[in-house]
Amino acid sequence: MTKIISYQRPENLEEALSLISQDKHVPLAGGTQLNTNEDTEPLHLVDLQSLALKGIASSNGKLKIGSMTTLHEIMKNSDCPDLIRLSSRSELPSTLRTLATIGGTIASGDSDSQLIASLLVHDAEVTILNSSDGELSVPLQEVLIKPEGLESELIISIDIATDGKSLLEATGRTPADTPIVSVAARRCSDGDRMAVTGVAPTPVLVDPENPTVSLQPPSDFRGDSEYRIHLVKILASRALDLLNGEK
Amino acid sequence: MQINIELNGQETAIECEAHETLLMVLRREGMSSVRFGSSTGETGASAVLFDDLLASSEVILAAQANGHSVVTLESLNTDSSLHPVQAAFAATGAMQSGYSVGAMILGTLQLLKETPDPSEIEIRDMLSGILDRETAYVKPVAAVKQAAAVLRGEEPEPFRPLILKPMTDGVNAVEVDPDDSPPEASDAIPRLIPSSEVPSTSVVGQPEVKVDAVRLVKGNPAFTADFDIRGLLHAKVLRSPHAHARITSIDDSEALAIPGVHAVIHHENINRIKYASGGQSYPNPKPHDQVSFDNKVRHVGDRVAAVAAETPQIAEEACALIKVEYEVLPAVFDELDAGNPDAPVIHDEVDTVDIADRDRNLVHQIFAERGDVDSALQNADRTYEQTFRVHQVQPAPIEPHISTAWLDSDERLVVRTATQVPFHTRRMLAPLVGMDIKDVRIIKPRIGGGFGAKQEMLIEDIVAHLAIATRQPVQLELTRAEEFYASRTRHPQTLTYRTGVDSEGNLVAQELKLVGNTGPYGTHGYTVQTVAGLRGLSSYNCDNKRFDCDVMYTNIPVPGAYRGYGAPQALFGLEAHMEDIALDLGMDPIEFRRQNWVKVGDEMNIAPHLGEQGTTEEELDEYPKVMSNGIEECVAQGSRAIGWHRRHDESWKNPVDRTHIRRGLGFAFCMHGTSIPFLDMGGCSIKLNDDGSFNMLVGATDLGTGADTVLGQIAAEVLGVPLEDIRVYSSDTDVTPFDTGAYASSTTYISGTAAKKAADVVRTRLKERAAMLLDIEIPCSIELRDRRAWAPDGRSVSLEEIALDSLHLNEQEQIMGTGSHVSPDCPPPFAAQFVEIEIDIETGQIEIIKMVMAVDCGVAINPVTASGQVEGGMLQALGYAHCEEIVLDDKGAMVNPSFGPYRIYRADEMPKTEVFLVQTMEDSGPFGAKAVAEIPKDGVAPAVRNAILNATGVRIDELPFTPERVHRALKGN
Ligand SMILES: Cc1cc2nc3c(=O)[nH]c(=O)nc-3n(C[C@H](O)[C@H](O)[C@H](O)COP(=O)(O)OP(=O)(O)OC[C@H]3O[C@@H](n4cnc5c(N)ncnc54)[C@H](O)[C@@H]3O)c2cc1C
Ligand code: FES
Repeated sequence: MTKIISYQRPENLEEALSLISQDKHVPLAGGTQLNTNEDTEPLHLVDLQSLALKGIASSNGKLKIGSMTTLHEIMKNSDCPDLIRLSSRSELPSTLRTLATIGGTIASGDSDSQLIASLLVHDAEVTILNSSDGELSVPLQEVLIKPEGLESELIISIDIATDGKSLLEATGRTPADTPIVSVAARRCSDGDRMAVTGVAPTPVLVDPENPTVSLQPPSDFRGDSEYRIHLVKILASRALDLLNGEK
Repeated sequence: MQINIELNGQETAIECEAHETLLMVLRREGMSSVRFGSSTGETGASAVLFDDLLASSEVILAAQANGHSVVTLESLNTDSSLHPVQAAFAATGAMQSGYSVGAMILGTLQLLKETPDPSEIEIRDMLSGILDRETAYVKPVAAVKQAAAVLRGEEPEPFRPLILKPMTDGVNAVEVDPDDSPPEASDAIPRLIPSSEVPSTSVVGQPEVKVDAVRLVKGNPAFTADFDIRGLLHAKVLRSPHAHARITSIDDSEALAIPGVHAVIHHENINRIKYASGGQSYPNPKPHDQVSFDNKVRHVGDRVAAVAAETPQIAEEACALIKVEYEVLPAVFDELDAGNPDAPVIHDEVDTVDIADRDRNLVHQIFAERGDVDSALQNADRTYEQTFRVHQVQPAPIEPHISTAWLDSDERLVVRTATQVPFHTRRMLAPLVGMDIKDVRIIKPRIGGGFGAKQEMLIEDIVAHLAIATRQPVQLELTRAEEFYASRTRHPQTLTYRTGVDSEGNLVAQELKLVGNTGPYGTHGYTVQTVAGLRGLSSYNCDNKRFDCDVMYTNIPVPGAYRGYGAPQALFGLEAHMEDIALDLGMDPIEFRRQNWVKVGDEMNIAPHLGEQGTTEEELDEYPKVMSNGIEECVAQGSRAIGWHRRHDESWKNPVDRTHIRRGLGFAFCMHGTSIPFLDMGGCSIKLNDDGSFNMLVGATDLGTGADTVLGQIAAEVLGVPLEDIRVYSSDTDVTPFDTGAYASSTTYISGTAAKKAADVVRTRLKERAAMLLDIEIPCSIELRDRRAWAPDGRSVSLEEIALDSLHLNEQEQIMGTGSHVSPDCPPPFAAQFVEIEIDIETGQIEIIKMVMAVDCGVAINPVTASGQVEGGMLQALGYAHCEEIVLDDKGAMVNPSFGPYRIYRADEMPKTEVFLVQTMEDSGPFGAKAVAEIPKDGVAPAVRNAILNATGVRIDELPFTPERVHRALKGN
């Protein structure tokens, strides 16, 4: 269990921003990661549930997903692209995906997140709010690589493109296991995108023609670096075959 | 702070603290159906409907829930009746321990509200967040379907076994026609193949609903954690960060200074009394190499100290403030390195004796031989040698170890505990706390799964020491991480088989050389390896057999008992080895086994030489024989169900539309044991009540296995009453008769015979009293049936009339009987395990498509609970084969002590399973029963291995078959 000093539930964004700018204050979304992390320092939690950040809406060809939207809600929403719905389901089991949010998923940036990889290929843009710049829209890949994390910033929403054809290929120990490596791919009018999990500290966009270039995957008991590279090659080529309508 | 939640429809104000979870406050509010499985939510045992959606309550902060609605299983319990969903879970045998059934029922309610006719995929997705080690989700899926039908207003089919015609005469093999397909039925329905030798019965053999079903489907208080005691303190254990170290100093002053801390115990203030923690018969196998707290630690997670405090958080804080200095010592983890001259000596203390060779970390040398293996190997036409390595896994019951201890008003020590062995625990615990056995009482309530991990006195001594030190009740519940690295696991082993075969394909010699890894303590180390030898050398006839085994100390988390108990390791090796020999001989793998496997009348020629209490080298005058064996029928039913003929069909094996996929089928022959002969003992007492019902007390420990139900069915059959008239209570060392406990596949066979004997005594007396009332000379001419005693002339009296007469009216007496049983026999159950797999030859990922087990367990006293044992056993066995593994880093710390990284199968990824119960009549068992609980652990790993071989021609002799390992094997390295 996380060590928790205090719990607060701000009613508006200004209040929330000013709270999280204080020392050891962090945003709380679903809590599936934050409330279960035993290794953190004692924290003040700032619960975002009253900030009206939930919901899914279409606007000029894009889909805007509020950061507090749960993976369950995304999975059930028929406006969302199939791949996004599917990876919201595969990300967590039934008893956790009703709590976990898309904002929390992005903020934790888990290397193995199929949902993040799927969002990456759907050109996700993250709307972030901080007290100095106000709202700004940042490509998801830039949010993920921020070394200092999202200090004193709030994820407000995520915009994704819904056109094109997208899919995900994965290898895990069992069918519903968190994949050792997964490859998400999308084809739309202006070309292909590809993102890979399990090869870097967060899911990463790669060159669909040359997906392993500059990858240096970590090794663990589920697969060493070399095996992970091998999986990227195989899964990427399968993904392209599927996009090409082969097989 | 105060929160307001709508709890089961009622606005409820609750005081709580910022760090508290919804689970904690719900339990404090008396919601016993919401249960702890881990602190990260992935077991789902704590799931509730949170704003109408299923969610794990241990990951929700109580404060987060402020203003929301929460529904628990208790919401359904408005009167004594069952809601249709509860009734469906009871009727289909969908729960064994029932620890997580609350979450499953709530999920079902929610699913059916949105989707009245859900698909199997939707049902399994709903269950994906509720882990179950017992049912393999097969019967829960059936329960949801049945509940859906009832709620749609349909009449559901009664949940009964599907009766199939035998395909064989019970002795001879048959050729299975590829076009003959088995009758369709849901996976959850056991397929029962009756035997004409089995007499008909009215309660035995019926799919009776479990006697504890109501308590479980209502989520009523039933488990150790559900019972509140005033003034309860909570314990936490400080555990070693080092795999091997000497404690040079320990300072508890800061910990003791925290308000709310009541006691800190460690090696400086607890008496040093040697013991072995395995829950086994007196005298416990040696060496006795443990003490409650030692000045040395021998694995990461070993005990250093324990704290009792007012809350678990305070206890944890106090643990962190205990100052311990260690002299870190070198450590060794691999059983093959443990005997090297440079390996550290793990038990260098002088007060541990009976170690075979302390300096080489050799705990035991076990040796048994029949005939002359060396000369038989020399004279054999062909000889084969093959080495296998098997890994470490954890039983992973969803209820972690939990115990509560207190001193009662007579100042006796009472421990309510999740144990498989209450009587052994009482005997082993008393000396550690300096009390007499008569002053210790162990109560076993419902248990949320054990699978061997709880055949151990694991934490009872800690709570007992703390309760005595504080004179207050103390509870300790292990965390999920502790359950992984500080409870008990399966022994890793290196096994080498050598086999000699003559020109006709008969075995002439078979040797198993085994190096067993018993970790830092010898608990179960002797007996698990002995059973590995016994099981590894019993399946096939052969005059020359040898078991040669070294058991080594290392610094891994402690191995102990785990369902299967050495057999899964040995049969992985044996059944892979036999497959490879058959193929080398150009023989059909089943035909080669059939030529050699033991049949009715064959001697079990190594069994008496490998006992729990030691080996004997002397030849016996007579060897036990196999008296019942249904394997031919099992093979016929299983091969038809799996489509065994497809194993040579190249077009099926190499699907043209999926060029990276290969398909394969695999088989394993399984033989297990039933109880430990001359050792396992069970007792039972039965007494008659005023209304003609009976109280039955058994020492046997139902862990969710359905033992209470099965023992009740046996008594009901004898007494001529329905099962509901037998009130079964297990087990409490003050109240119930002795029983060795739930292990060694013994309960139905041993405790069941005790129940039958006790019932026989009662029946005899009932007949005598009936004879008095009916004025009949010859009591034995009376029959008991339908709650009445019948004279040959058709007159009858009810058992109630007999009860009232004998308790109140004439020559008053308490009609009661006791029985106990120990068996000289150990009749083996047999089984045919089949699997179908698909393998991705580019990634190494295998997918198990279907598992079929056809098992001869004699007469299944309850076909539904028996098939549930097979389903759950296969799920665990599949985890062993495919994905479960304890991974240690180079310092001996477990890398993956949580579900997810430690992968166990979920509902939404289970292969299809089918269970066939092939009846045989085992005359030595109650109503013909043999064991069924452990044999399903034995065959999956070798069958998957043989299926990989069938699909790709590649042999993998090391577990588990993770994608990377399979990929390397396919690449040839
Ligand atoms: C059993 C289990 C299994 C898991 N398996 C996986 C897995 O397979 N793959 C995977 O990727 N993850 C996994 N996780 C991790 C976790 O569940 C996910 O990352 C989850 O999606 C986090 O969402 P949440 O809403 O619960 O976030 P929280 O736990 O509430 O927060 C997570 C982090 O995000 C920050 N945060 C949340 N919302 C915002 C916001 N709007 N703006 C800025 N910062 C924010 C928080 O401060 C915190 O640091 C698992 C967790 C558990 C308990
Ligand atoms: S044995 Fe005594 S009456 Fe039958």
